[in-house]
Amino acid sequence: MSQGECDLDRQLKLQTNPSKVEGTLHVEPLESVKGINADALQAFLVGQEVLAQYIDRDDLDKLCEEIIEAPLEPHEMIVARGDAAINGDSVTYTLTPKIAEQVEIVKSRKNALKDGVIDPDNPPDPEPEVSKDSSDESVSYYDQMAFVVVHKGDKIAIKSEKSDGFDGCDIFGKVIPAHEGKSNEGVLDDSILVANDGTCTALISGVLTAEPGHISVSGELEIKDDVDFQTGRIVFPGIVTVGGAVRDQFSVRAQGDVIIRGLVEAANLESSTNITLARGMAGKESGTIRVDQNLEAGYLEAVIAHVGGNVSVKGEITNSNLTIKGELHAEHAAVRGGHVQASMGAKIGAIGSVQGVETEVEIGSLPEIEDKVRAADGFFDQLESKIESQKSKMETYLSAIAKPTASQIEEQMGMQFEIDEMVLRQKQLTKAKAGLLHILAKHTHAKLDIHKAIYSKVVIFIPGYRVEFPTELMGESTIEVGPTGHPSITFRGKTVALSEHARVMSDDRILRVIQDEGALSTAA
Amino acid sequence: MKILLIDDSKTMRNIQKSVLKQLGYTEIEEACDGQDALSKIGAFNPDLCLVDWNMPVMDGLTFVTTFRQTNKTTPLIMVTTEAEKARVIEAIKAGVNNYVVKPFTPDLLSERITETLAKCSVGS
Repeated sequence: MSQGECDLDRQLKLQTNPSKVEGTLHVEPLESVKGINADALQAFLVGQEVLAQYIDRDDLDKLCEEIIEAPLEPHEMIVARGDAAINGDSVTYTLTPKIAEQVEIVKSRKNALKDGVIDPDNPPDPEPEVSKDSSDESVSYYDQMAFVVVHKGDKIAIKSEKSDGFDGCDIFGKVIPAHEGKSNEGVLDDSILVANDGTCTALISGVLTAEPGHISVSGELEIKDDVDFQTGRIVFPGIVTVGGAVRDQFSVRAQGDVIIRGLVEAANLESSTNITLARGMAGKESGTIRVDQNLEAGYLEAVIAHVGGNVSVKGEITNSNLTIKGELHAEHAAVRGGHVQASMGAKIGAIGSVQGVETEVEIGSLPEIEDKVRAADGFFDQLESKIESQKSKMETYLSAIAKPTASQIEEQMGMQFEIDEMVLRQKQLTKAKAGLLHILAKHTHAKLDIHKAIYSKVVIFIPGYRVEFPTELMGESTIEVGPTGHPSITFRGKTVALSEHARVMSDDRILRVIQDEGALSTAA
Repeated sequence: MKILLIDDSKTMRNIQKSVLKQLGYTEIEEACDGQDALSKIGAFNPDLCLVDWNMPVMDGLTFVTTFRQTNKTTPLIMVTTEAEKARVIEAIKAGVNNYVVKPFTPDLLSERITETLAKCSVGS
């Protein structure tokens, strides 16, 4: 090396970033720029095993210009660029527009409550549960639920599959492998089915959870606090558990069980299965319960209830109107005021009160079937009257004819046909009535067990009779209508005719179905 | 089994229809005279016809005679008030397979229908 030239390799240094996709050339201050050109720098880089295809000649030229311009200063420039790896996309789930809209509505609702648009402590006047005009676009925070409820088969989201990505290459020619996208398993649980085309469908009906990294449907809706403005009126296709109370004017309607741990006020409850009210319900004469199966309650006060199965009440039933298709179990409870009807009998602690509150208990009746029986009887009687009238008309007609003409014969046949048709209808009615009576016999049981007392002003309806108690009857007793249709009472271990302890009057409010064949013929 | 009822009286057709329904026949077509019946026969193609004698436009006997010119097999039952022996013979000669005199009971009509269908089925 001659004087004035420098050992270029000593003055140059190649540095790479961690992935080695970029190469930066560092140049020490030079005493002489002789021999400094892009070719020399490229030769250096190639000597460092940088692939020529990744060396940027323009940058080398620029760097040379900078060096020549200020040789006594250090220089650096990125002069080589490899290909960065492009990682694959991970699996993503995008909510369908309909679901996304519902999620947004629920968010807006929460924000409205948070921002004080609606003050839960000072709510607007309650709105009745009526269907609104479709043109009315106002939002009712009573009816709008704070949950997104989906039904089995609803499309929830669309899944985008993961991709592999593209491998890269560093400036030395070494392959940089791309990372495959993540499967994101566990985002969905087994409540959602993913089809081959990526459509995610709800396998069950229930409440939707749609959070980043987690989408699922639960058949159980658990409300930790009250059902009020925070939740809206609840309509749910599964089980609903409420940790708190259900406030006035709100409702819980569920296809599954409804369990409420707090107090239910003048609200509406509905279940296609069972309802459990751990505390009870103070319905203020407008709270309603409609349950297809059983109802369990701590107490019921001023409630209107229709129950398809049995009712169990631990405390009191006061001023309530209950229609029970099964049995009433209130062995330790008192029924005070109101009207309680139980098709399959009842076990009650006490009926009425010392103060003499008017209380009605009706056992062994099934009003909807009895109405049909009465309608069948009425129609039968109408037909009977028409048959008699037609027969009489026909007799008069025939007696006036000596030798009937062809048209008179046909007219006579027509009259007879009408009579035959009516007789046939009567037979069909008799058969239908027998079926209804069989249902009545099977689904009613006129037995009332009283554990403590029947107070005065109590009226008990049993099939065929109205029973009044002018004075109280203290002690355990059982009132029953036997297969012969006669009412009896077992009091202090002795079974006697009910009329010995109460005023018994014939009453057709409840149909008397006599099952005993002998008694039936006697009654006939 | 498709049955055509030919009678000008709706009441009579209703009576016959009621008996037929009790026997389990539900494919029933009605015609109010012989002419009406001939116009419906092509499309309905009945397996049995119950024919009244005295009808306006075209009476039952004319219908039977006309029908038998082209169809020798479909059973025909004359249901009529014409009870004289000579009339019965006239109808049978024209081509009816059985004869029911009005007034008839549902049982009698039912019996004749069953009897006629059984005979014609054996015959064919």
